[in-house]
Amino acid sequence: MTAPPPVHRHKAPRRDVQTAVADLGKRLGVTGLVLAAVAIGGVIKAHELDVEQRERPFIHAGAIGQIRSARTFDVTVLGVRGSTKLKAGDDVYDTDGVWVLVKVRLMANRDPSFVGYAAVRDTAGRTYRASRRMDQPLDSRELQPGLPVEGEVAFEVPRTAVAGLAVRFSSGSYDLRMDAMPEISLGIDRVAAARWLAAPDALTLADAEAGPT
Amino acid sequence: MTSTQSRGWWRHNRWGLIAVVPSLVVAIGFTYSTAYNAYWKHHPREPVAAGEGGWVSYGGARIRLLGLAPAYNVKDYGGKPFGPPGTARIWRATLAFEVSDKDTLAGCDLLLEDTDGRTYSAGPSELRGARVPYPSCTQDSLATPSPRYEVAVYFVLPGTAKGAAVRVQLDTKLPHYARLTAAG
Repeated sequence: MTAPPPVHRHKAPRRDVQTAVADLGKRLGVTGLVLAAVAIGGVIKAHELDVEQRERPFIHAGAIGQIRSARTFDVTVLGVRGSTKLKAGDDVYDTDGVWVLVKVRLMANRDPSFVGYAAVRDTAGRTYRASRRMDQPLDSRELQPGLPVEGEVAFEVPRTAVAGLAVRFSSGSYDLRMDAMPEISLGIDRVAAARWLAAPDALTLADAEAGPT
Repeated sequence: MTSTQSRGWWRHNRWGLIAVVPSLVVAIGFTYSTAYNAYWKHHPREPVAAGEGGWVSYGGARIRLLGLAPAYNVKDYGGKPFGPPGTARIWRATLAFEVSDKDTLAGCDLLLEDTDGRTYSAGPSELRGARVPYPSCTQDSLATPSPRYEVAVYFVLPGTAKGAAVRVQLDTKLPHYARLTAAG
């Protein structure tokens, strides 16, 4: 029977003070870099645009009578009127707000196109889509290049939102990201809004018809 | 961490670090390729041109454009002459089809292309009230079924535009579409 091998114990040599200070300095340096990275990331995060802002439509601002592009079609607002009652087809629709009727001329550019989105935007940034309470004459109208179509779009908006409205259009119906979008100021002041609120007669929603070529 | 330990870390993880680069290329490239192909394939971008005799093989059928010209004799349902709005003109295209199944081209889209490359829908709203057939690539349901038939399709173009070609496209065959030009 042979004797077991001898056990050799190893022990790390004690670090001198200089090495310990150097190691501590490195650790503090790394910690500082991590904290700085986190802080810079926080600042960037706090100031970067969110998805809604970053991928917002390209707005083409305009006024009544000016042609503005919605990429696949052009829009010209011809006029605006309002009331608290609206006649579409054989039915009359009342509202606690105001019916705003925007008359437009639309024309496709290169290929047949539809209006997928129509909305008015108030001065507080709230948007109101074209009413679904009745059939909108321009809703299903396919536009052809070089053949203008005129008609009205009806919007139902709160009384307090009427003054300062602007109308927006797009060919897309749900994906409006990074697409051309006309935003045309309707020039409605408080006087006009008050006059529409007091108007007793129902306005008849104009049908879509061919515009002048 | 000493320089010896640092070298050891890089050596220990070298294959993982090397693999990061091709992994990123594949991941980004695949995503880009998928999105690009999905976008490309949903639009009519690749015309199928006519072969011998002006016939185009498309979607399991053979198609030929027999004629394309302004139409001046369109009537309304009362038998009176029908006029398009303003200075616009009505164009008529006559197409011949050869199909093995009557529904081969069901649901097709028909477009007229003008000399500037603009396209127009068949049977647009501007023809409301005109006595013209519903635009279709299939045979009239009242006709005797036949593998060979002709259809007439109507379009409305601005007065200054000139028809150049008729496009026939099926959603299931995109990005390919048949582009037919009249002989002569």
